[in-house]
Amino acid sequence: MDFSLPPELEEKRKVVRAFALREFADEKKRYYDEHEKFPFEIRKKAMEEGILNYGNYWDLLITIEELFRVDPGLGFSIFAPFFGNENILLLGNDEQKKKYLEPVLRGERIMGFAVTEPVAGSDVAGIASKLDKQPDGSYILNGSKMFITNGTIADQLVVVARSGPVPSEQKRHHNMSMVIVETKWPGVSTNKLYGKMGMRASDTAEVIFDNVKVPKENLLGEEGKGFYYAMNFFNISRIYVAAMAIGIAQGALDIIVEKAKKDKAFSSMEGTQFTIAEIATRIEAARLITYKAASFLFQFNPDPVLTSMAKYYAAETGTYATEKALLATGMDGALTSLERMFRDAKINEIWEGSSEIEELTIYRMLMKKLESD
Amino acid sequence: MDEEHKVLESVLREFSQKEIEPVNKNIEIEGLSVDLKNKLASQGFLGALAPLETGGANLDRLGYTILLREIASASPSAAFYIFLQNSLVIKSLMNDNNLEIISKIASGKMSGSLAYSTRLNILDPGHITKKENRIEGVMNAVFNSSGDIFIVNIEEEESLYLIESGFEKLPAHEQLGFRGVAFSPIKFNSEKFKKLSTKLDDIIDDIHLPVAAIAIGIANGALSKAISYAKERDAFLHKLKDFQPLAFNMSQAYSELDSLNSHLISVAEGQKDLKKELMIKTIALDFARRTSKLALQVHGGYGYLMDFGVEKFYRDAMFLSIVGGHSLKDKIKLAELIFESKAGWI
Repeated sequence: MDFSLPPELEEKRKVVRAFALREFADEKKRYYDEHEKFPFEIRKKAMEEGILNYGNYWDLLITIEELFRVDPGLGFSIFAPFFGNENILLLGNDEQKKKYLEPVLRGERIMGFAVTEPVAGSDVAGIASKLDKQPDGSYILNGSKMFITNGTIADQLVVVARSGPVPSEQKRHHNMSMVIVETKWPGVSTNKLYGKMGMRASDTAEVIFDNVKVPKENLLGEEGKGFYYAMNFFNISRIYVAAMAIGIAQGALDIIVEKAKKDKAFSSMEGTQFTIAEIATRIEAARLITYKAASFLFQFNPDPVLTSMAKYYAAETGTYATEKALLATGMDGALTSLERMFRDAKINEIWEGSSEIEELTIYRMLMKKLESD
Repeated sequence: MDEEHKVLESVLREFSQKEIEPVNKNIEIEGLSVDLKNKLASQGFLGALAPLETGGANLDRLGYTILLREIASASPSAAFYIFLQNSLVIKSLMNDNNLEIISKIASGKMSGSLAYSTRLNILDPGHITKKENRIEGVMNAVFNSSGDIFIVNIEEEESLYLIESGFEKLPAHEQLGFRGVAFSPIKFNSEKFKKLSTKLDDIIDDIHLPVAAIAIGIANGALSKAISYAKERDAFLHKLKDFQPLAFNMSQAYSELDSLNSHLISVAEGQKDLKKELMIKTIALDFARRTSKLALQVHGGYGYLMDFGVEKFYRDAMFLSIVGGHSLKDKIKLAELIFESKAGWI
């Protein structure tokens, strides 16, 4: 068993870190956070310099960690324009990939994934948006989506909506489908959500579909399997969320270590030493679970138990690390990026399935696994 | 709690509901408005500890504790502002003949701040020197930095000075919490100052109970919102309150809050006791952080939005833990009081 990363990934880690330290200057971090603006310019530079390698999953995982380590809000904005495209990659036909996937990979288009609804957060089976099938095979989409990343800047959204009736309370997850919707189409409107606690450089919006005509060619995969596709997507995205949280925790550790280096009185205290040891241990544990879950996923054999464990534990580690680092560094920490990291970290315990959902998934899938052993 | 304090509690709840809740979001975005400050003053809150002859309310320990707790339940920023004017400024001014200034603070015509960053966990708190007839230097982390008067500590002589002019507000800091109150470095270059007889360490030794009251108020505000939300919000065909982890965690928090509240009242009713006050501050701050985190989690994505009024409690609970004293020094002091000798320090 070899726990070391290949040299090319270690090298990539250094390249991404250098990019983030150079491009995420303090005044930029503050500007985009304060003004809740999407950093188009930084995103463009990242694409030009080949920072995002969507074709190599491990590379992407390491990249996310290093971007979030320096600034979660800017890091997320750089990475997120691809968000949701995994669905097209896995389910799309050649035409869909050419039309919708390739421009995103080239950095020409921005993507979004519209699952969450105002009254159905983690409860994906509670989705109420409707896809009414027309005689010509196309659909009319109605409904609204909430907390949609890139909502107002995306060129296209992968949307999950109900394409048939709810068979029963137990089968609420049946009859959902996944379609690609272009945001310039008539009937699509968006409202940017302002006043988020963290991740403020990223674009988050409510998206409303009012009689939007979706051509039949834009159905992804098979009709009626949208819920399963979404769950499959979460098996992928949760690994990346875990990497985000690990990056944040590492960034918090960097800041407390930095103070320890400058302030001998601070570093000589056991309270400080124990805090550093505790944060570092948790980061290591979170990283190991995440890399293990990623190794299964990247070999196309995802383990939902490990994936949820990774997301759950890493998200908690991100929050824990920022909180403990702030308490230890006090006002020094509060006057650095750590205060922003503290605000940013919490969302990882909420999005892509809240921690409670992860715990339920761990239990249910674990029991299934154990029962079949 | 006696009848008088029960009435105070009830008046405060009504005031918060009527005057603070409707402007709560604005407080976070634009700061405490002049209008709200005037209302706080007219109720006697800005001069809560000031003598009656200055127009103050002259509240006792219990009354002041209830005031901070109740206001913090609605707006931690407003409570922190009241705390700054009373626990830091008025108390610093009280021993000397400063009744006119105290009167202006109590009436809201003037506001002040005590630059106490040297007593916080910060490597470079700034430095102020006094040379002949001039006080100059920079203090790096000052609250209510748009105030009219400042009190600074000259470390070399361990004396507080009141400065009425000759200061400049430098660009504001990024502010994790208490966003209703301005926060920035202040540059001093003043010839108009007055020495005070109160010592900074005495002021800082006296902030533990008020900080505990604000912390418990924050926890109460956050938990109340979470409980209401859990009663209304549906998920997976049930109300959130029907799910065990949420119901049990919130019930646990509610029980802890109830016990902490009783203990807070009991400590406030007694005479000053540093050990008891440090103990309750330590527990209250930890509880405020945990409970505000729970409340945010219960709200899910909506909790992350300012509109729902929960995220401020999460930020403010953490910020209070940083600005409500030097946590390490507090721990060392508490260990010393518990072990009855030097402890936690080799």
